[in-house]
Amino acid sequence: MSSQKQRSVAAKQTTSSRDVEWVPSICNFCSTVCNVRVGVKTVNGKKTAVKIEGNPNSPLNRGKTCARGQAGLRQTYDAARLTTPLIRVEGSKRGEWNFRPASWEEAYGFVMQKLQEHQVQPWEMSMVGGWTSCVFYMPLALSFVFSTGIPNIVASPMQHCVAAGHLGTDMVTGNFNIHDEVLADFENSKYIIFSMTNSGVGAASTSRLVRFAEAKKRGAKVIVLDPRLSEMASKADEWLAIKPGTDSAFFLAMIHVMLRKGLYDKDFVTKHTNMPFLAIENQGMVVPMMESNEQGYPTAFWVLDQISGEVRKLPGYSNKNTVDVEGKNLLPALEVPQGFEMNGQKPKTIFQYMLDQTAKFTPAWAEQETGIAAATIERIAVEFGQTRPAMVDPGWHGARYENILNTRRLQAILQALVGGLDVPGGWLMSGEYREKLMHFMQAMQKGEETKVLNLPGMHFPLAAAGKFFDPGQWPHGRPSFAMAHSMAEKAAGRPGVIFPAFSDFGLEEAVEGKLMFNGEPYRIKALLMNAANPVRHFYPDSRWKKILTHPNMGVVVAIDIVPSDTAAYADVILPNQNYIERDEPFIYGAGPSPDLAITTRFSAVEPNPNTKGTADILFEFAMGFGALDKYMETIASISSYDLDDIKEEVGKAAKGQQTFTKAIRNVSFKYHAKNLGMTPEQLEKTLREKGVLVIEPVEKLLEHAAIARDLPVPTPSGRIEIYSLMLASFVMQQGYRVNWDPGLVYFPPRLNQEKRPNEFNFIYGKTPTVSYASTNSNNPILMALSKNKADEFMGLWIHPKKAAALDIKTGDEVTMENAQSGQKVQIKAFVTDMVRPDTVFMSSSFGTENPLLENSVGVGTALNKIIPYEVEPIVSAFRSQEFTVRVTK
Amino acid sequence: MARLGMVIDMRSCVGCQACSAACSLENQTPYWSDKWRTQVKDIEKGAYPNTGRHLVPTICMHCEDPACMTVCPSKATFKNEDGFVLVDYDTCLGCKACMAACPYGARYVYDKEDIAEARAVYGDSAQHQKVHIDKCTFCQDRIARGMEPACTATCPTTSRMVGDLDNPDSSVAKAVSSGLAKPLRQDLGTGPRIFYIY
Repeated sequence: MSSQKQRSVAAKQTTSSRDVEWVPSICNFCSTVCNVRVGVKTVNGKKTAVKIEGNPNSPLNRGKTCARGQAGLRQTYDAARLTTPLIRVEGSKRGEWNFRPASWEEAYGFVMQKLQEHQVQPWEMSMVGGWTSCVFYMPLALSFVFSTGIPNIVASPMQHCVAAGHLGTDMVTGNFNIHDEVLADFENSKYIIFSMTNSGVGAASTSRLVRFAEAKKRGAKVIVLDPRLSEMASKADEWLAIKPGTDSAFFLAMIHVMLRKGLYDKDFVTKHTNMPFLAIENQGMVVPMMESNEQGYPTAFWVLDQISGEVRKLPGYSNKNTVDVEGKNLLPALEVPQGFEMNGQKPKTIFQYMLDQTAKFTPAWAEQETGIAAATIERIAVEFGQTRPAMVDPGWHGARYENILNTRRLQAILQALVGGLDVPGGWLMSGEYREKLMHFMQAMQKGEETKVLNLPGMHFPLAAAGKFFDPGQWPHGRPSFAMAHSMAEKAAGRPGVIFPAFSDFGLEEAVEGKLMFNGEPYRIKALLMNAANPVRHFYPDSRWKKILTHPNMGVVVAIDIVPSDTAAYADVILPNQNYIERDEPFIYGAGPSPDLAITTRFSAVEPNPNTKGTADILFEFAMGFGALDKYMETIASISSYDLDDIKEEVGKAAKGQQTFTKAIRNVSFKYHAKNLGMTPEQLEKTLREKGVLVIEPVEKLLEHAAIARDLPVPTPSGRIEIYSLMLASFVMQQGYRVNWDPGLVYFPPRLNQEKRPNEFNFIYGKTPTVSYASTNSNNPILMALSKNKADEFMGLWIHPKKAAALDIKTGDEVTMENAQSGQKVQIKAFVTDMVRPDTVFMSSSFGTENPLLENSVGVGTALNKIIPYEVEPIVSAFRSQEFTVRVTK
Repeated sequence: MARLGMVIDMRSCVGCQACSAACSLENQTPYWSDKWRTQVKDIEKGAYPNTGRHLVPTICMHCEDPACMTVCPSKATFKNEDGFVLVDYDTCLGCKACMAACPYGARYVYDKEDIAEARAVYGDSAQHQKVHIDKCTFCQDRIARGMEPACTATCPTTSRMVGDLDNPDSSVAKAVSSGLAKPLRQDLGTGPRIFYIY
């Protein structure tokens, strides 16, 4: 072949990424927040994004992106893109797509007029946020509601994921943050157990996948507990098709075996957990012997010193048990001898109580619960206990069962038992979390207060959500509607919810005028939604449709990029810039990256001039409410940003000299540049070049700032809490309930065990191509990839034997009915050996209804049509699998 | 000159399809007609509870002895100096002989409708102007710029590795020479440049 031909062919066969300019950004297609770079060049005379790649400088995703990350750029050019503010046409009903274009002034004016018309008081409004609101706008969103007196935010990740899962692990480790997901160090682990997660790794979180893949290549043994053969389970050395909702029984039996065979890290457990603390039994409850201050925080614990044989007093807040209150060294005993007495009482250690409590959780017992052979459970417990480093993946999505927090908590306890926290091959805390913790400790030693947004771990939700729960914190004397509803429920003798942080608990009642607080109705009349899609995100869709269409609802505002199903229920839609168009208002920590790093986005392509960034919209609303000064003061009061800087920059924006987004960005750059000893211009140049700036790598951080070993964690005691003082405080406040037993307990999922022939357990999960219920389902490339696997991705997985008995074949349309609530959906069957015979599975990614989303409308079945409104009593986590379904052809 | 080859590690592939998306965006392949140069097959084997789920990335094997080239009447399908099997879009007749001949199903028609849609989607940056039987180029245009093929560069599980098969120190050469990585359907004798770790 002539080389001339080769050259001519080569010249014509170019690729999209040739001659592009790469602009650093952060992916917005899921909360993994991968660092990406956007390739732009001129197409049809316009600067256009043509290719996205992972940013090779990223400590998170290491230059890689998944299908969503790749295809994300197409959102910018979606035919349904919102390019002008829209106002509902008079006389049309919410739910109908009947809007007229309007100017921004007109749209704001319309909202203000509606608020007046319905005499909406500040507490009668609620913000509704999707995950981007949490990750990218937390300082602005919190300050907005604090300064305008709105005590309500409903945030979609909380009842599904953050509160509903992570809080369980966080009670043990003290972690909890905007990016509280732990980025586990799979690649250095030799033994990994996954439970109730496909979304978190396999389908697909790139920062975790890059590490998990390395583990597979290095030969780590992988165990996956899942009733179906998910992408994750397909990578397992052992796929254990556990009975749905019983994972906690599996973990309790592992703990049973490990405690009895001594297969735990005795050094770590002794020195850094509360296992050696002396405790007594009081009214059937295990209670640590402790002293507390007026706020209820512990000031002292007692242990038995192995060396001297004396009882010694330990400080109430510390990372280690080896120095007593007098500064004397000791080594606590995990067990006290028989007949041990102290002050006339007969205390034992928490460790001994845990032995007692787990006595009944034998592998044989767990076999009955989980359907997994006792010998297998015992073997895995031994392997896990003997292999170092070993890991239980912390899990991602929560919800599903009332026992979810307990399950996730047991995972953290197992991890603590093998000492696998902040060590290679274990759970690694994020650099951002660690930095906050170090600053917090320094401030505490100096007697200085830490601002809310800088609080590490559990301190943050306790302080931030605590404000929403406390009527005294608000000028109008009202807590959030969710807390008001919880109080009303308790008064009526029902359980309520202890910690309904950013929850929709009671929203329906508030809208209907049925919620009472202090003898007056507590109404919600207005919703301001940012990047939220509750009609698809929340369970069930009928509840939110009812809320949004209720005649008492005065005005609904939606800020969106591409019109979600929920946007169709708005009165006013405000068009938003998307992630590749906007300069971010802030510099952020690099998500859950264990390296301490900062990152931000740079505008890669010009936004439509008639769209705005969320920061601008919030500032303009604050101005409309006459709260601009207060807004600025509040931002400064909860963050590290300087008030004078804010006033100067925002002042320019208010005069129209720059956007509010740019104003806050300038403040953020100035603050970070100062900390790094750079000028803002140098920092801008560095971030534009690299996309991510690593300040301190994890290896260095672990040398001096490992949690537990070096730093106390934000649990009440500073230790890793195997016995949960947080749960114990719930017992004190609320009385005993198994949900908040501070020790080791099991409560089974509430599932119909005696099933009819066509009755199944129900489970759901995520596909790698679509993030749950988001408008990215309209992406043409992702939809093409999904349709290519329509059976697996959109079908109802049903076992061949059961399918045969019900005369169901792959592709048949079947009716699935919730056997408890009566909700019904139509879905196509996928007959497969990849699921338990007693269980059916569907994915959570499809079933869009807005006809403007032309690629995804009507494709697949919406998950939230089969799930009822059932929540558990700690955080109102959705019990989204705690029912059975009947399947008929 | 390096003899580049690819090793696909099925131990770590989770079937996320990042490769398909990256390839489609880079090479403007017709996703709208469900046509792809590279895909991940999702294969179920065995009966519950001993079910296996095999996620198998597929791509042109860039054979030493390519059946698609042998049968090409217009010689549009050719091997370049580096041994990659390419198509001259200008001389391809679209006769589909190559599609029938390829034992790996790696070729498809970029038809008239696809050309029109590509124009609509990609405007004046459209890469494909003429009907032809399309196939993977091993991203020659990226290789020329010192980059890995799009599928390989993005793979979140590093399940695709590209390197010099003639350099004994490269990871791909090591995987191949150790016998860890094997070609798919070696019995066909086409001499693939793509190797799989099962």
